[in-house]
Amino acid sequence: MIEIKDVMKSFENKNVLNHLNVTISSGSIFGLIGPNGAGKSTLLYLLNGISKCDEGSILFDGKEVYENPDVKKDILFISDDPYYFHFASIDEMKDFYLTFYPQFNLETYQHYVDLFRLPQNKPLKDYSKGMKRQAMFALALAIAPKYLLLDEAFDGLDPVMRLAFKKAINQMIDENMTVIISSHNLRELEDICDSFGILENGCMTTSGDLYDIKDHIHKIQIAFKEELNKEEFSHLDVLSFHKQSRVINMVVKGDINEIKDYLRMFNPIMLEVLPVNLEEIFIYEMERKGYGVYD
Amino acid sequence: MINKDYFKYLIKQNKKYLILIYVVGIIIPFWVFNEYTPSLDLTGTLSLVYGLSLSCIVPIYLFSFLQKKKSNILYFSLPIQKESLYLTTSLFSYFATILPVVIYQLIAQGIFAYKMGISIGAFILAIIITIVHMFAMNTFITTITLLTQNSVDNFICSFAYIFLPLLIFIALNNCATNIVYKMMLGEGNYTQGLNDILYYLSIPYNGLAQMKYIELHVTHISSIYWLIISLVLSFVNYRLFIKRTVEQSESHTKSFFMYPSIIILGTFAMLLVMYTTDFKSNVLSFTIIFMIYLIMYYFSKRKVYFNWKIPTIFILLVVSCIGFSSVYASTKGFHSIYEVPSTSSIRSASFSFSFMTNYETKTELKYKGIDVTDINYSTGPKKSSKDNTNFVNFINDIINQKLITKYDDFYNDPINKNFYTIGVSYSIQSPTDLGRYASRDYVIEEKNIEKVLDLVAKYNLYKFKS
Repeated sequence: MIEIKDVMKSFENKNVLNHLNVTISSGSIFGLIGPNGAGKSTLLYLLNGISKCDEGSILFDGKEVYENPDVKKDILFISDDPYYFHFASIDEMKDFYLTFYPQFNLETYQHYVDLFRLPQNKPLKDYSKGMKRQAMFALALAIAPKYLLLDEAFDGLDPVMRLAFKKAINQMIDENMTVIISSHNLRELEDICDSFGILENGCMTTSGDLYDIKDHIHKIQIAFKEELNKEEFSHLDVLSFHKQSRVINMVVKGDINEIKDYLRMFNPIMLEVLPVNLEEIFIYEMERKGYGVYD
Repeated sequence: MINKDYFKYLIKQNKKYLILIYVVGIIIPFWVFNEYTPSLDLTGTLSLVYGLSLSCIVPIYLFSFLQKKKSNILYFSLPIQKESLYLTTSLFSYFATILPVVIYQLIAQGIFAYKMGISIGAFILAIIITIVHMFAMNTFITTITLLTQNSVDNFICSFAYIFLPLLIFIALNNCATNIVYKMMLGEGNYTQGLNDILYYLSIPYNGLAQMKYIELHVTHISSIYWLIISLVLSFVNYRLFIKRTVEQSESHTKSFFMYPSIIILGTFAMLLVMYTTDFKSNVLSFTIIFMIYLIMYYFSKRKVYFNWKIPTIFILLVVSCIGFSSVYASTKGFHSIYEVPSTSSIRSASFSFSFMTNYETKTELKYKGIDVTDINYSTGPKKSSKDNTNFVNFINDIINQKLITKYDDFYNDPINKNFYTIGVSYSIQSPTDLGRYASRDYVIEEKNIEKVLDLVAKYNLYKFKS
């Protein structure tokens, strides 16, 4: 379990993370989403023990991560643009990781190198972007850390590669790994993640189980005999409100039955509840906070 | 603590570079083997030059991961404490540089000892000098690497700090030249306190000087100084590494000890080098230096902009330069420049006379039956303090009584005439600088030669027959 307790981090007098509190259960796939500059990469650096938080603590199974090799050997961080030694081949990188991760499994490594058809003697700098990511995944699977942190793992990859990585991550789920993925590609995250958190202005504004959240956010299309304004629905927690004459599309937070009962009081001609996805949840939350493009 | 697995990995990863270091280093004993007249100081110098070069390059290479964000992220994410990462990398840095050089120096000196024979003390001392100065250079360059925040700044600041002591020396030398030009000293070796400064400013200079005088009795205080500095810097480096963050990589170098110090010291030194009492030439040279200062300033900030701080600092440096020159002149180099050395400091002294005819033919003077050009003085093997006193008194008298003239001043006189010259030489008993000697020629006009010789007789500097 990862516990992020009241974490604060600032750079050059700017608060990047502000009293951040999140708990991530073991074995879960946690999607870390947020607008640009929200502090996602910073949080990942803190989780990996690369940086130290100014205040608060980050605990992995009750132990601090910073400057703690015993904890860090169970964590692997793959950034959006992983670093390789100049002219190093995947085998040479394997030797490097073997030095620091005693649990590195050579058979698993060879299995994935063969599966991904990665040329072992060719310098990694000559690999394509997708192949470089595959190489990192092969190394990650060989290390089999308890916690895997991925920063923008899918970005810049074609659909075939994305599918390959999703399969690899699913493989990791089977290994009982806890995975934290930061990405802008929310549709991909929705396929994999079972929990998520929206990071905004250094705080986790929304977090929790994905299905629970989706159960509490509803997209409703409703038509009335006459035009109604948003103020009429002030009792609802409205995330998004779009009106076209007498037809209203709104996204509302709360219990669906209570919402329906409330809306029926207005005698709608038509009331339909539509499915909402993670991307829409993110967009609506951000719009509410004034971030994004408005119609 | 050292991480043994990582240390072994570093050896494995850098195997080809280690082989190259050893292959290039074989030149040292090979040269000794083939050289017919080797010497201990040359053998040591070759090792030291090679060693100092390695000590500049290797720490920059090994700690280069700090300068790029991606590599920094990788290393700091590894399950190894920062302390262990620093200690292991540093130890490997010393291992990869000092060990091969010392091995080859031992072989080379061993061959030399077999051919020529040297004392055990000098043999060991040469090795110690190499180790101390390589350790110092390696540690110093590591400090610069840890204070800079990108690869370009790392190279530039390292290069600057290696050559800055020389620039400071040239600047002080210029100040000293301006002083001695007004004294009877004129041209000649008058650097008198300046070499000492260079020993304590420049690691290569001190190392090479210590190696040059290895078989003579010189003090090693400056080497001990560098050893202490290195130990202090090792601790500083440890703290810098522990505090280093990923955010510092690939960003502008902010440390005051890098660009700000280099720019201030470098500009100040350039101003001192170019400073004269002529206002017009100062305006021109200071303008050029201001341009160089601006280029350095803007390069350090990677942008061009105006801020009142920029010209203000330069003006303060100009004022400081003028002030320093005045104080340096009025205190005669903070009492390090003297017309005549103190009696107790003279190791050896000598003078001799020459006769120069220009346009008249005239018989050379005889003094007490002896040709003037045969009269000379040299400190004997059993020199006494009275000898030094007599010599110093003689020099003071011929200066104070204006019996001698500088060559430049004499040749400004339009009248061409015969004249004598006196060539005066002396060396100083300096524990750090065996090269401190002076040798000057002065002009003695015909009308003054007898008075000069009277003084020679007065101070018993030559045994005239009665």
